[in-house]
Amino acid sequence: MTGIDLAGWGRFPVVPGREAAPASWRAVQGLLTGSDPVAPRGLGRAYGDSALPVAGGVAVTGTALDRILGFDPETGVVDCEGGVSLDLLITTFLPRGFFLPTTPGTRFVTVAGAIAADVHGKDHHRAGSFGAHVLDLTLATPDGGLVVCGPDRDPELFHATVGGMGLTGWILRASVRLKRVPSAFFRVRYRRAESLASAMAILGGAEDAAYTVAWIDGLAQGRHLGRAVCMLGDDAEPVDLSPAQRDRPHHRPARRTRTVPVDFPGWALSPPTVRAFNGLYYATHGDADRIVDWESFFYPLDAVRHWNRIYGRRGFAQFQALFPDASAEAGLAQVLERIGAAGAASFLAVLKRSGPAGPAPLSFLFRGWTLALDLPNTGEPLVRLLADLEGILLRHGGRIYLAKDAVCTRDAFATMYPRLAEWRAVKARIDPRCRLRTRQSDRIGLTP
Amino acid sequence: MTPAPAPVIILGATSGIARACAERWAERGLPLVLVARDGDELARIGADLRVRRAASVDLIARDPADAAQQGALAEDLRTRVPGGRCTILIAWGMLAPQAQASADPALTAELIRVNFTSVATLGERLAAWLAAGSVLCVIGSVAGDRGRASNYAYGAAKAGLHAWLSGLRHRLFRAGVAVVTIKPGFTATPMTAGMLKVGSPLVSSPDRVARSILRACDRRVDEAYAPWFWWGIMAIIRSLPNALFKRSQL
Ligand SMILES: Cc1cc2nc3c(=O)[nH]c(=O)nc-3n(C[C@H](O)[C@H](O)[C@H](O)COP(=O)(O)OP(=O)(O)OC[C@H]3O[C@@H](n4cnc5c(N)ncnc54)[C@H](O)[C@@H]3O)c2cc1C
Ligand SMILES: NC(=O)c1ccc[n+]([C@@H]2O[C@H](COP(=O)([O-])OP(=O)(O)OC[C@H]3O[C@@H](n4cnc5c(N)ncnc54)[C@H](OP(=O)(O)O)[C@@H]3O)[C@@H](O)[C@H]2O)c1
Repeated sequence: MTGIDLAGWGRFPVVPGREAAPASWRAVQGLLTGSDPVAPRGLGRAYGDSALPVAGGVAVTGTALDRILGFDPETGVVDCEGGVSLDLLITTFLPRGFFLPTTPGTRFVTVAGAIAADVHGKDHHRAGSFGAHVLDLTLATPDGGLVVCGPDRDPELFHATVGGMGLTGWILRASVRLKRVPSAFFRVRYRRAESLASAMAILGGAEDAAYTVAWIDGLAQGRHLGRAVCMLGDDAEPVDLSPAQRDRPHHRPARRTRTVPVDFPGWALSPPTVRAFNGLYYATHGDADRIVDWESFFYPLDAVRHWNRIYGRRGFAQFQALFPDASAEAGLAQVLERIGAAGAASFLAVLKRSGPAGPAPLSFLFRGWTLALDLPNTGEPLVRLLADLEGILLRHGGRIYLAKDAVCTRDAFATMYPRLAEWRAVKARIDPRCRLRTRQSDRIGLTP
Repeated sequence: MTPAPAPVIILGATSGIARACAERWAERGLPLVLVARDGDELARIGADLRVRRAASVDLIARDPADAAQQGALAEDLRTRVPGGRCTILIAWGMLAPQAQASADPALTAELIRVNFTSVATLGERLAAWLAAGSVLCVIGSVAGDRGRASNYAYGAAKAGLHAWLSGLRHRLFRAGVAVVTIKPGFTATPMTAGMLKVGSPLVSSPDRVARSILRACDRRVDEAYAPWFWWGIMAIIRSLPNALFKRSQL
């Protein structure tokens, strides 16, 4: 076990801690029954402190348990260990005609992390979140045992684990239903929206499209507030493809990845730089229809490794909010205005229409609108800004996404997630001594 | 018709280095026989090789280091290799802090049994039936090149192993069986978890070491450092006079 500095993807906060990477199920069980509190961890792509150990605790990272245990080509069901990355699932099964049932904006997350945060993608309005495609899973529990659960097998435990941020057991394996796809490409319609209302009208009117998302210029103000490029996508059929692509429709086109080698200096993200970037993005994305490969479509940020270094040594916070339909337009406008007023430079913000809530009590999304954006760490001003944004959410019946959070307060969390008591009952049954804890869970009151 | 490719037998298949070797051999389409004492982990490793690499994998859940089971194991393996021609990798091994071993004679004895005696006793049983063209590859360690304060019980067992392999190589040469000694340097596996400096240029990935192992087996070399640059480092460490060495922090 090594003593090191640990952080999430935003590198805010950074805490000293220890990390263990067990390579056998027995080793995981040993760590869970040891004396130190355990914070389960995957690829560390949650932005804040979701996977950071409490003082004296240990992060137990799953990436060494990355074996694929079975695959049924008839049904597309894959049985794999929790440390398997979505990237490994794609490289293994896309050539066989299968893709993830739904995916977040990076493929460098683990299956366990995707379940623990119940992640969502651009198809939430059609596919639901990741947990909806999990058939069963095996947990290592703090009493040293192994428990299998699923929608029909101890459903309370299963639903408390989906979106349960690793606090109901360490996810050793899961079976997930992959989906058959006609190709590795997408037909995408790009539509420019001059304002927030028009972006919402375009996305709201396109629910028949499989994948929808809008990139909002987070710095545009006044009558341009919320101006956006909307993307409406569908799986491309072989007939949509060029003859070369059609020959091998599931082939992965080779792409160059770049790496940000060092932390950027502070001025690199000053408002003028970001304003210029956002303006350019908006100007160069006119209305168009195009065929796009899966990597550019789902994972544009993955093309630049370590892009979080762009925010420099101080790191950044992500803010992802969800508003119910009734208050969404007003709430979103207030968020964008508040961020504009702070001059808090943000690259593009992402707006998404969300579908109905799933059965998991702590799962993030319900029917409404969700907005995500990066905010560089400016110290005290950032803390004030995030507190104000939390206030806007509370006044509009909204909530915050735990996988992106680093600051939410206990009271705010309890108001945002009214099914907390239901979840707590399961936690008390599985982990009465609170061996599974993170910085976040202590802060927002999921533990102790 | 081309003859079926000779199988690869990996003993101690749950080791991090062994798993990386299995992936590379499976990529070449060679049939694998994996042996390890932890049947559950072994099953998961085998499943992954089948799903991802479409490999043909046989699993034997037995402790290859347990002298009491070695007779039956060697016999079982012989029946799986018609003609007696195959590649065998012996990968199991055990490391413990020297301070613990110094305080506990039973641990010192265990380090010598697991890293040396058990390999020698199974090795003799395998040598009895290996046919011309076979390769017996065994993982030793740079730690066996010179005893150091931090791990001399482990190092001594590996040194004994190196000498034993040298003798076996000498004996089997005329029979056309190659005996390959691999000496890895620092490798990031569960054995060294938390002990090595992450990102140090001296720490190799298991896959990097696996590449050296496959290459050495392909070329039937007698001894290979893994990666190769440890040859230079160990040449220097071996040549230091004791007067200097015993004062050093190595
Ligand atoms: C560029 C980028 C884009 C993103 N886009 C999206 C998006 O579109 N939609 C979305 O929903 N999310 C998105 N995310 C967030 C990300 O998908 C989630 O934070 C995800 O949980 C990260 O998984 P991970 O393997 O990195 O886990 P970590 O970040 O290491 O951990 C996340 C949570 O999972 C728990 N956990 C990890 N492993 C285990 C285990 N073995 N057992 C039990 N619990 C475990 C941890 O305790 C923690 O609570 C994005 C993140 C990035 C960096
Ligand atoms: N890692 C390094 O830096 C390094 C350097 C030089 C040489 N080596 C050598 O490389 C070989 C492979 O090691 P690794 O690094 O891959 O380590 P590893 O992943 O820890 O594997 C060790 C293997 O040995 C088995 N083993 C351990 N104790 C045993 C015992 N008492 N009885 C039977 N089997 C036992 C383990 O089985 P279980 O899974 O059942 O525990 C596992 O298969 C070893 O010979 C090691 O000495 C390693």
